[in-house]
Amino acid sequence: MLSAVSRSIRGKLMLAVIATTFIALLITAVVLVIYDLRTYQKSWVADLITQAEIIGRASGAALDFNDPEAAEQNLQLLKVRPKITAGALYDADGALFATYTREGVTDVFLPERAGPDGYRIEGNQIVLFHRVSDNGVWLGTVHLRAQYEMLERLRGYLAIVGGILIVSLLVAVLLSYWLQASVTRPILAISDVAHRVKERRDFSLRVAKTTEDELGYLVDSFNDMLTEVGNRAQALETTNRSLEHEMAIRQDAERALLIADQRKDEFLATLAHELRNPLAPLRNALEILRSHGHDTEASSAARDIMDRQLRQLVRLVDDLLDVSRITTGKLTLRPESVALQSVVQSALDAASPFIEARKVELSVSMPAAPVQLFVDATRLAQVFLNLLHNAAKFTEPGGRVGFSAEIRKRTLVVTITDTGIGIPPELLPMIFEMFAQLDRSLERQHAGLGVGLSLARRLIELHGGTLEAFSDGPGRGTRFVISMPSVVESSGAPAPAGDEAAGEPASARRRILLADDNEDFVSSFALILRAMGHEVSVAHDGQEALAAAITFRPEVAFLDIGLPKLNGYDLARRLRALDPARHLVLIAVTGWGQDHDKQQARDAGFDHHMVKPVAPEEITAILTSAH
Amino acid sequence: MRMPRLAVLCVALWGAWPAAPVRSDERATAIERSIKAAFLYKFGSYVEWQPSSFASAGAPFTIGVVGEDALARDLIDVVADRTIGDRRVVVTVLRESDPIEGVQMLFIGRSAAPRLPQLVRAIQQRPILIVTESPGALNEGSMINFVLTHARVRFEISLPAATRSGLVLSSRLLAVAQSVITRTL
Repeated sequence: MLSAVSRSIRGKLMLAVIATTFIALLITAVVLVIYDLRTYQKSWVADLITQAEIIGRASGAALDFNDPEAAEQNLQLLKVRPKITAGALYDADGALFATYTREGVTDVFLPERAGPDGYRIEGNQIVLFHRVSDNGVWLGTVHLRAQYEMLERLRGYLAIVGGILIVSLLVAVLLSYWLQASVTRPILAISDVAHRVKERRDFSLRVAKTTEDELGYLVDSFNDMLTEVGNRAQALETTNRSLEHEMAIRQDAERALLIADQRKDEFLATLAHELRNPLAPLRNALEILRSHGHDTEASSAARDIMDRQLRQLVRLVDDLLDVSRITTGKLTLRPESVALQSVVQSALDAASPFIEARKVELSVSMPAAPVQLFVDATRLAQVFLNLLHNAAKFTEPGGRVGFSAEIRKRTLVVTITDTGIGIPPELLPMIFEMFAQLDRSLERQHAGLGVGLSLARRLIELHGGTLEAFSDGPGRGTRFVISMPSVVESSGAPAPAGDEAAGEPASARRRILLADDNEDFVSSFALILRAMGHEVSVAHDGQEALAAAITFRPEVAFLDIGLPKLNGYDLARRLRALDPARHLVLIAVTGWGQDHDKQQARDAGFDHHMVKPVAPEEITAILTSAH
Repeated sequence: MRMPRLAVLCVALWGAWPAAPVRSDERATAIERSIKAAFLYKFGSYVEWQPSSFASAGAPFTIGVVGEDALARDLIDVVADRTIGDRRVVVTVLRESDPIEGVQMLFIGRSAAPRLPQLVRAIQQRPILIVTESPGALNEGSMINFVLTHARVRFEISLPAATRSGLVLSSRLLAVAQSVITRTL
């Protein structure tokens, strides 16, 4: 009950007021009653003693002269005090001398002998014995018996106190209601608003101010606080939202980074695998040459194997270099005016061995008239080659690969189709991503680094075109469509019949200087050149090369850059300085194929820059152009 | 000492008298005499004495007894070590020839009753309280006269006699007197 009442401020206030009133009244009443009853008793006893003294004195003569009648007449005077119910006089020896009993009082016991001096309370009666003496002579003892109204008085007091208590408590209740009105109403208003703010998170709510006292100040403070909290909550929310946004972006970036990292790891594993793959056939072919060198057929087969594997290796390394350029943003084009037909032809030439090996039928459809493009011919050929290679790779033997090029409003559209395994629709958007390989199992049939398509699309995009892939689903073949606005001129004249490759001219006999510290490379290179009918001088370091240049007087020099004693760049400068007027073709042969490497080579005086390993056709081309 | 004995006497007189009416006269007389002796002493306290009543400031309060030697003996016992108004109390027995001098109270026994008028004349209205025990003595100049009523010792008072002698009797004494003569007949 008490806790139920004291749970609210109103209850507490009422409890405080009522309890204070009650306790104050109770203490006052108890103290007053005790004081009054003590006073009553004292004064009543003093009164009785006075009466006794008067009676005793007045009865002195009666006692002296043994006159009980006179004494009783004296005692009869007590009639004027109706509260004294009985009285008695004892002589000096303590014997009963005279008595008095109020009229109407019957059951009064008056002792025969005087009791000891003093008074005592017997229920609602007070009994007094008082010795009376005169001039030191003991006259006798007066005995009085009177009503003692302590209980009646107490009862009366209790009635009065009870009445006052009830009235006071009523006043207290009214007072507490008034207090509630002036104190609890603002507090309840604050409490109510606080509750609503908590429920609705609405910081625009305000408490109405009704008083100018401390509670009014509290209301103001509370409202100010709400404003402040509202502002901060809003700021916090804004911050949270931007943080969430940022977090989402970061998470996306992190996920992308993780995926890229994972792809890179997979790429490295694949790369190692792919680089190793050609090594075994190469070693086998070498073994065949060594043991069956005399067997022409076997040697020829071995050379074919070695040729194919080497090409594969070169392609891989080229791809790697391109990946590096793409990731570092250094892939740039060297556009020039070139005929579409020649670009396609070089791509087909490069692709045909693989297509034939896959036993896939290739059909080519070209515009009848020659088309002039302003493109990076090498790169475009690389894209065609990539796509053709890709198509042949994913097509089972007996399948078909189609290559068609057409001009639509000065836009070159090249379509490469196959009847191969196709691509599931959900994976179509992914195939152009770097290192993407649809089949990630170790036992996958289709080897590759997974950079070809990505590289191809990037190259087309650099030309301002698009590369898209379409497939009707697994087993239904794939179609790649290139669209690029690089057409300069599309004449109606028919393409010149045949091509340069058809009638390969015999290279003139040249004096060629080779400088490389790699013994195997330089000797095999010399072997190839001598086989072509050239005169070859070999040097293994820079100084040796310089000396040979003076004595041998070469027309063409293939120089390694990383030469001992004198590096390739310095060697080139010396050679140029040696005899500036003479026409000497300088070719840098190096493992470094980056653009700045090529630039550095040009600066040093090189005419050409070749990246190892060097294909025989490239040598032939250079020797031809050097003419 | 003295009081208890008196008390015992009183009690005996009070309680025994009605229960045993037949007593030897001698015994009853003895009790009556002792009560009268006690009363005599007490009368001294209910009178306003003037200093002129005494020969000197240190003079004792003297009670003269005439014609009742036995009572005088009782009285001597009663007043021993007692005072009246800070004065020692002495008892003197007066013979016929003795002059009535130096006494403040004079008890005239029954045997000397015939000499009462003579004694009153001799006193000549000096402030001497005259106490008697003879019927009609008040008419002859006595101021307080013992009477025996219902076998109890009581007394009657003549105010005019006292007033003539310049004595003022306490109203309390008057209150317990059996009767008081207030005017001269």
